[in-house]
Amino acid sequence: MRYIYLGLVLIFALTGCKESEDDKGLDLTNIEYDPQAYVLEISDVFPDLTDPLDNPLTYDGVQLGRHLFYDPIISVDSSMACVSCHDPKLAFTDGKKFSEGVDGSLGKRSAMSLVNVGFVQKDFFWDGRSPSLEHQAILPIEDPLELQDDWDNVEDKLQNSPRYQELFRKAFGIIRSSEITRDLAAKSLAQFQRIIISDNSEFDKVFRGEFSFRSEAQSGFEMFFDTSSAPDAECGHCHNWPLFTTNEFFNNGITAAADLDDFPDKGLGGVTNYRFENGFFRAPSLRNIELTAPYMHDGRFETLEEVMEHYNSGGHASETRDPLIKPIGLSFTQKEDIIAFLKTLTDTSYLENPDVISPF
Amino acid sequence: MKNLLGFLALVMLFGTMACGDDEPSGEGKLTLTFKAVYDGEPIVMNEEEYTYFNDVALKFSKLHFFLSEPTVQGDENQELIDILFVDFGVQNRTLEGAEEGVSFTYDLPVGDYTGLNFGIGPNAEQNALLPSDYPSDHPLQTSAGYWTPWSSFIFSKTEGKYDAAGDGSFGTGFVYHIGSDDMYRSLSQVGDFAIKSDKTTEWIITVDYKNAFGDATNNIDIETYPAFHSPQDPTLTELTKMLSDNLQAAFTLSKK
Repeated sequence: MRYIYLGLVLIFALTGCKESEDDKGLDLTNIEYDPQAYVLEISDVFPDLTDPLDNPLTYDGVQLGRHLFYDPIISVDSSMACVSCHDPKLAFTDGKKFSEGVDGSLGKRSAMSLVNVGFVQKDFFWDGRSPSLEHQAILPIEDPLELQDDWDNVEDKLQNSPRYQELFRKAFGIIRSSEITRDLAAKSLAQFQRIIISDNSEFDKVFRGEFSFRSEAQSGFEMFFDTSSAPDAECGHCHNWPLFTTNEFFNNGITAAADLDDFPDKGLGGVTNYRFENGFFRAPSLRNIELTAPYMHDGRFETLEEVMEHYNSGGHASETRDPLIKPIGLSFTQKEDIIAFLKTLTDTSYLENPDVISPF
Repeated sequence: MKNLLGFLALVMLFGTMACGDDEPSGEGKLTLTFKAVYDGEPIVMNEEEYTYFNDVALKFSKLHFFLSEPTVQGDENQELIDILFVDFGVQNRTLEGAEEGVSFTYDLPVGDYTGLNFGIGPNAEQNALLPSDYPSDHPLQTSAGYWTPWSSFIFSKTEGKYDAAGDGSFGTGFVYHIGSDDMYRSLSQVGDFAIKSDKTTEWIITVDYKNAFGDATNNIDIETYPAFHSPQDPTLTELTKMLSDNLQAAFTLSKK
C-alpha cells in the first residue's frame, strides 16, 4: 500500500512538472532576435507619427503585424481577417455601407480607412472610444459583429503556430511561445498600420511645385480653403491640410434630431456621456476619398455628389449641429469643382511598399 | 593671536550663514487660473443662455485661445512656457467647473515680482512655423489650430449659436476665428507679488466674452456677420481686427 501511495505521488509530481513545462511553451531562443528600426520617409509637412516609446517601429514588428492583418487565424472560424473590412485597394475600407462580420453579421457603422491612421493621436473609431492604435487593434477580434473570436483562443492558436512563434520571437524577443500575448499582437498590428502612408497625391505634387491643378481642381481648392472671392465651402475647418482632417469630432448635420437624445447613433456622446456631443463623429481624412465610398459613419451617401449636396444644403437641424454647417449656395459647377479637387487627393502609392501588401 | 584668528573665523562663518538665511532661496509655485465669463457670469458651455447687446439669446460651444510666452516680470523676467493653449471646452461644461476655471501651475524661484505679461496668439516667430515644425506633444502641432489661407495659427476660436427667431431654437451659429500676425495682441499687468518657498501664489485671468464682442455702442453684428475668416474681404478683415482688439480688452488680470 505504501508503494502504491509513493507511486501515485510520483505520477502526480511528474505530471505536474510536465504541465508546468507545457505552460511555458516552446523555447524560441534558437531563433535570431535582432530588432532593426523601420525607417519611413514621410513628407516634411506631415506631423510626427504617433510612435509610442513602448512600441517603436521595427522591421520585424511590422512584418508580424502584416501577417496578422492578412491572416484569418484571428477570426473564430478562420474565415475573416482585418483585411476583410480594410481592403488596400479601397484605401483600406470595404466599399460597404455597414461592414460584414463572421456569419454575415452586419456592423453598426462603415469601416474607416486606415491610410495615415498613424498620425491619429487619440480617440480612435468613429466614436472615439479607443485611446490608442494599440488599444484599437484589440477590439475587433472579440466584437460579436466582427471577428467573433476571443483573445484566449487566438493566443492559443498563435502560441501553437510555428509561423507565429518565429514572427513573435523576431518582433519582440520573447523567450518562449507562451509569451505570445494579445498585447504584443496588438502592438504589431499598430506598427503595421503606422506604415500605411499616403503623402504623394496630385495635391502633394502641386504643393511641392511639381505639378499644376487643372482649372476645375484649382477652383475647387480655392473654395475648399476659402482662398479667393469664390464662395467659402467651409471644408477646411474640419478637413484641414496636410492630413485633410483635424482629427476632431463634429455633428455635420446628417441626422435630424428633435432633441439631444433623439440621435439613432449618439457617436462620441455615447462614449463621453456628454449629451451635447450626441451626434458627433470623427471627421475622417479626405485623402483617398474617391476610393472610400459609401460615405459618412453609416454609409448613407453613395457618391461624392450626394455628399456635396448634403453640405451645400446645410444638412438637418439638431441642437448639436456644428455652427459651420449651414447652406452654402454652391452652383452645380462649383460642387463639381470641389469634387475635382477632392479627386486630386487620391494616392495609392502605399501599395508600392512591399511591407503593406499581403504576405500570403 | 591664534585664539583671535579662530574667533574671527567663527564670526565670519556665522555671519555668512546668517546672510544665507536672509537670501531668498528655493522655489515656490505660481498658478494661472483662467475663467470665461459673459457680463460677469461664468459661461456654462452649450446650456446657459446669455443676452447679446441686441437682446438676442446666445449660447457658447467652443472657446479657446493660445497665449504666447507668459512671463512674470521682476529683476529678472521669468518666461513660464513658450505657448499656452487655454481651452474652456471641457472645464466649462458645468457651473462648478466654470467657477473653478482652467489652471496651469509653474515652479518659480522664490522672490518678489512686479507683474505678468503675455501675447494673445503665437508671436510672429512662432507663427512663421508650420504645425509639423513642432514636436508631437506641443500645443502648436495641431492642424485644427492652423488656417492655411492665412498661413497662420488660429489665435482664438469663439463659437456658439444664437436664437435668431426668438423661439428658443438656437438654430443659427456664429464662428469667430482670429489669426495672422496683424491680429497679434499683447497684455501686461503691473502688480507686485511674491513667490514664497513651497507656497502657491495665484493669478486670476478673466476673459469676459461680452466685451470680446464689443460694447453697447460698437459691437459685432452677429446676425449680419455670423462668421468671418476670409482675408479677401476688407470689411471682414476690419471686423477681425475689431475682434482682436476687443478680445485684448476682455482680459482682466488680478492677483488672488
